[in-house]
Amino acid sequence: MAGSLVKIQSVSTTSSVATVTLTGISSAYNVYVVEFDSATPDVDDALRARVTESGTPNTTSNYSTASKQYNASAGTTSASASSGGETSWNLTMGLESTRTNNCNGVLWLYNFNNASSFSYMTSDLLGWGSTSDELKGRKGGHTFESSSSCDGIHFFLNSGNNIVSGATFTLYGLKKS
Amino acid sequence: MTEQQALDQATQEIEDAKPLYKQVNNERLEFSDSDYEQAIEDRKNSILDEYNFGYIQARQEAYPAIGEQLDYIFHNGLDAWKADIIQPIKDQFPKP
Repeated sequence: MAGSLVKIQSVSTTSSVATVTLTGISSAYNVYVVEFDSATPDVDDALRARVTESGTPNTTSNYSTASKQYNASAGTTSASASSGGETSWNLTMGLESTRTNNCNGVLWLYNFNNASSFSYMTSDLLGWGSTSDELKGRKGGHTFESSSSCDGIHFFLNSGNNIVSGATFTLYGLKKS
Repeated sequence: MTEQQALDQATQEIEDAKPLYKQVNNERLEFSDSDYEQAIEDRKNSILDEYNFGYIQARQEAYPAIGEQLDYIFHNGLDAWKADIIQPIKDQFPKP
């Protein structure tokens, strides 16, 4: 059998929380996958992320994002980009808080634990946007431009609001064949 | 808006929101002092970003699809397109 996903860590929020951190990334696997479901904000807000080192979020200005957004209305698109200098990754559009089970996605994590390489991530997600309450999708690429050994990923909302109860975040390792 | 004004607003908002909690793997904990400090810093940055650049995203999302705009230009001309389609959105989301 070719490679398969091995569950490493899974979190379900039973009450509102401002941040969610998943750790457990090591040298055991080259590639990791994060799947999240129902990461709904309690007030309209956008989801962001940081890498963690020894469980602590790295807040240095080494994050870059390049992404494309797909809007349900008339198929319009808009880009989100930052060339370094950001202190976190911008993952989503503003998310509509009144939509239940809003914001689901998959992240592919590369070289996170490799101390001699930058960390890379791709994102593929969907949600109801807070602007005009319409369905939006986003695909993006993200880099953390520091050669350090990262052991996890930390999620938070752009304006400091809470992720509601019922959100799930799961970390998998991609097993080598 | 100055950085100090944004910091003051962020500090007040985080104070009002206390207590805040973090989920670290399967453990739910209240924020530490350093977590609160970082939350204020992040909120300050988001306030400044929204103030300085929020109009860009808002305009992008408000403009009709390019095809619709081209159709409008074809039927009504460039001046009408500027006056009817573009200018109202620029007015609705002004540059600070």
